[in-house]
Amino acid sequence: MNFNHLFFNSKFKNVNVCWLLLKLVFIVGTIQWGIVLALSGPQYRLTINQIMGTSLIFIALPLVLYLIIVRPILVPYLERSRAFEAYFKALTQGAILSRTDARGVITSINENFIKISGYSEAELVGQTHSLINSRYHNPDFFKNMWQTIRSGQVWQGEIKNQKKDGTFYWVYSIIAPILDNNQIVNYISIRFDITKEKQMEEQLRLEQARNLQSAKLVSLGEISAGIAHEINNPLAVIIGNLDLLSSQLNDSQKLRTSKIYQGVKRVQEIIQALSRFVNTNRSQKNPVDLSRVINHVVTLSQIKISTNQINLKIVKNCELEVMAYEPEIEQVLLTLINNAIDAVKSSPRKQISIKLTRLNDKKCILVEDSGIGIKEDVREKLFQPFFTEKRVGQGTGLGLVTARSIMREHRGDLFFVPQQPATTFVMEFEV
Amino acid sequence: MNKMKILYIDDNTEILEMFELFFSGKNYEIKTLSEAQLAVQTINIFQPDVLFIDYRMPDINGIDIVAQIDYQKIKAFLVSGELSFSDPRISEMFQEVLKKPLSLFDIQKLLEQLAKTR
Repeated sequence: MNFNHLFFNSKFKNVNVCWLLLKLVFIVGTIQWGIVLALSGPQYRLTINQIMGTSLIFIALPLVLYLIIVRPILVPYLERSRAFEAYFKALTQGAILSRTDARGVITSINENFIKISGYSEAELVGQTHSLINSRYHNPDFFKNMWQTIRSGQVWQGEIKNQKKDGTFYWVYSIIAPILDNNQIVNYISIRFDITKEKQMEEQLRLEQARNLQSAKLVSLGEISAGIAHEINNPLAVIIGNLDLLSSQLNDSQKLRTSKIYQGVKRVQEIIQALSRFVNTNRSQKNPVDLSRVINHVVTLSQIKISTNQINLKIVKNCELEVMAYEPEIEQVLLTLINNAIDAVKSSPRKQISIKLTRLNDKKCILVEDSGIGIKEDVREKLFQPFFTEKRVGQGTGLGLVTARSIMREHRGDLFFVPQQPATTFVMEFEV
Repeated sequence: MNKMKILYIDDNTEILEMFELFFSGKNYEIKTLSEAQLAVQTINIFQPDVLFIDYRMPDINGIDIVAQIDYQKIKAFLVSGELSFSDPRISEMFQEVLKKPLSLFDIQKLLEQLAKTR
């Protein structure tokens, strides 16, 4: 299909026609004059020389005029016209072209437009570009674009469009108005498909974020490994002295020291958990009683729960055991509970419930809170590294990322069920 | 049977003190040492049956010390607050790597077991 006619209505072709007409006039005129003069020769008793001379003037004069005046004016026009046509040919092959009237209604398109959008020519012509609007850009984006081109300027930018089949493509667009007597009569737009570049860009961005995240986690691990020694020594002193004390204590005192033992063990576990990113040779997975995990973690967050006057409900529908690294599973649950506490802290109804149950035959721990829920625009960012809604210094933006990576390393998963107004996070374990 | 000879080398004197307190009056011959530079010399003179040695000490680490002695004769334990080791000599030189913080009761159990196998 040739779409040239849609773009070139007259002007460039006229230049060619002008030139041919001019040539024709010169040639025909000269021949006519020659004939006239030759025929009328005897009447006017003109000698052959005179006839030849006159004819020569009539042939030579237009020729000279043509050569010195008309041609120099025409040639640049012709060259420009040829160049334009070559440019257009190249553009129409490589770019997505369209032309609209002053209101933005499409009057013509090229084949690339049809190919990329998936719409036919008939479907596109007569419509505005809102047909392929992806709703990705906010209204201000297009308002700004229209302001620019309405003022007679060229607008350039990246636009995300939607194909007929619902998928998306990105184009780099250049839109220019065509002016006639300072009035905008048409707009032309030249677009280039940049979908692949956009995808690569996005991938790169994600990769960088991921790299940054793992770099941060690794350095966190290295720091923890470094301080582990320093912390474990005083812990050894605490435990050793408890051991020494224990022979002199009665039962109720021993109950107290057992709490100290537990606390020390927890500190040791945290140090170990932090360093898990460098410490690759972890111990074997052990059977972990999820009910015990819940009890343990709830004990750890008890102070936070009671100081915030939160109503905590624990439901255990069954006893469940999984093969896991216990401190890591505790870390995940702790993250979820801490998030839940932050979510309900300032809401009028402060309710958190932890359920141990089977969901679709999978062992799950559910953490539900009565907070304000998670806004839709936030949901997809929730598991992105360094995304946090907490105030500066309060959240690292790594809690859920780490938690999910732990669950996935256990061949389980971590996700949430948006269930207005409450939010439920689900720790799902391998079957 | 002779009392089992136990040597504990650690630059942290608090740990040594606890160790001595805990095992004093029990059926062991206990010696502790906090100066790592005297370690080789002390081991050679005292000739312990069981050696507990800290990994990270000033100037020298426990593995390098044990490498200088006849470790075949001694049941040596590396005690450490480190999280992991990659030194290949460990499995050859030590019975086990014990992680700090370590309960004294755990050490007692360990020693009782060793006494049985002696």
